Amino acid sequence: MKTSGTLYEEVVNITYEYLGPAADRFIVRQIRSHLGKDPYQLRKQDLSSLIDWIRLAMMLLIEDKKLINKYVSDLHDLAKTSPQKAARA
Amino acid sequence: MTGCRCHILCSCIKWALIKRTVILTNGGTELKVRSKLFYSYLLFVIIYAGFVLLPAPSSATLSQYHVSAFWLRAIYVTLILILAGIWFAGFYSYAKLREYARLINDNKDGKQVSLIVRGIFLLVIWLPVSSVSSVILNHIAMRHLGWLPAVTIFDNYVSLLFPLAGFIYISLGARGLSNLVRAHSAYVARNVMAIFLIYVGLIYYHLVATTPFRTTTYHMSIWIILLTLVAPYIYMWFVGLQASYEIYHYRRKVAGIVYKNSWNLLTLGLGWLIIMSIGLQYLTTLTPHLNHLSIYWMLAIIYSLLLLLAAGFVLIALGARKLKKIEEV
Repeated sequence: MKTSGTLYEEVVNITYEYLGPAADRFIVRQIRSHLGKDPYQLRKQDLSSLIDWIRLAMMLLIEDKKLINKYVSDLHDLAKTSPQKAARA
Repeated sequence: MTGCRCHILCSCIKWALIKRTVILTNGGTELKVRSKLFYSYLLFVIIYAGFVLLPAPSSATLSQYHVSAFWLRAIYVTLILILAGIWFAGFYSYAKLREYARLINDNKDGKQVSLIVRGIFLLVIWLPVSSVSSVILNHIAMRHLGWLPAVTIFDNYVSLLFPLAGFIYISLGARGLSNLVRAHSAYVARNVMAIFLIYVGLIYYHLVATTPFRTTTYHMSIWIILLTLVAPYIYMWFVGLQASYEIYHYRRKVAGIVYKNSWNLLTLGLGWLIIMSIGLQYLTTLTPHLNHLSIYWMLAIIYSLLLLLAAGFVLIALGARKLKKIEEV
């Protein structure tokens, strides 16, 4: 998963490390069902809420809290480090 | 006696109808058996049980195994129950895998998983279809002895064609998955498989060619057996082993720690099922050599093999459930 551009694609990019081919479907589902948005409309201010939902979803999938924390931390880093991408999105 | 048989059949139907309404709960996940699939399963069990239990056992069978008609029927009942359990495990694993495939149907991996599901369906359906067709045709052949060769030949081809088609579909799906991660089987692995299959094939050929019961087991000339049974079986085992290896390879190479781990059970289950199917078919050819064993030893061997096969279905169901969960949360 090399493509990146919009915030949504960045989130999928990070998720790919954890959910592989299921990453895109997983993120689209989280954004659509919990934020009620089209994935490409994801904004920086939505990230915090999205991360909370992702954390909850991951807790249903695995018990490894370290891994969940690492994933969530990667997403938080994205929120901090890519303001220009977020703005572009 | 007829009343007793009817009672057993009625009990079976009642049990099945109760079972139909039961929702199986496992780990908090409710799993409801799909109706069409469940009714097909039920039909297979009832037909099989009817054709095995209702006709009076032949005196030849009773004297061969030194048991009374009652004991033989009691043994048949245990066999039916075990078979019913195994078929259920098969149908259940197929249902779970199909649900997962439907969730990801429009994706690249979904198309490949759908091919694997089709293959699993053929493997799952092969067990009841071969057992039911065999028991019905043998029942007819007992009344028209002239039909026995045709029935045997038909049985042999049913036992071959379903798993052969199943393995081909699984192999196509496995190859597709491994193409997605651009991973191809290693040179060493291909060679090990080739060497293994050469030996397996040669031993199989030897067993078929030298069996003293060849005429009664196959009712065909040796060349026809070699060209239309032995060669396709060896090809099927090759395809199955290759598929098993490709799925394992996909699981190793695919990205995503959680996704990869969710494939563990499914990979193990598919590999196990393929290897056990190979083992089961291989041992089927040895059946004439095992005729000297007592019925209890024969049953112990059959039960163990069938239960081992069922373990593969259970692993597939558990693996599919794990993967399905990723697509549902």
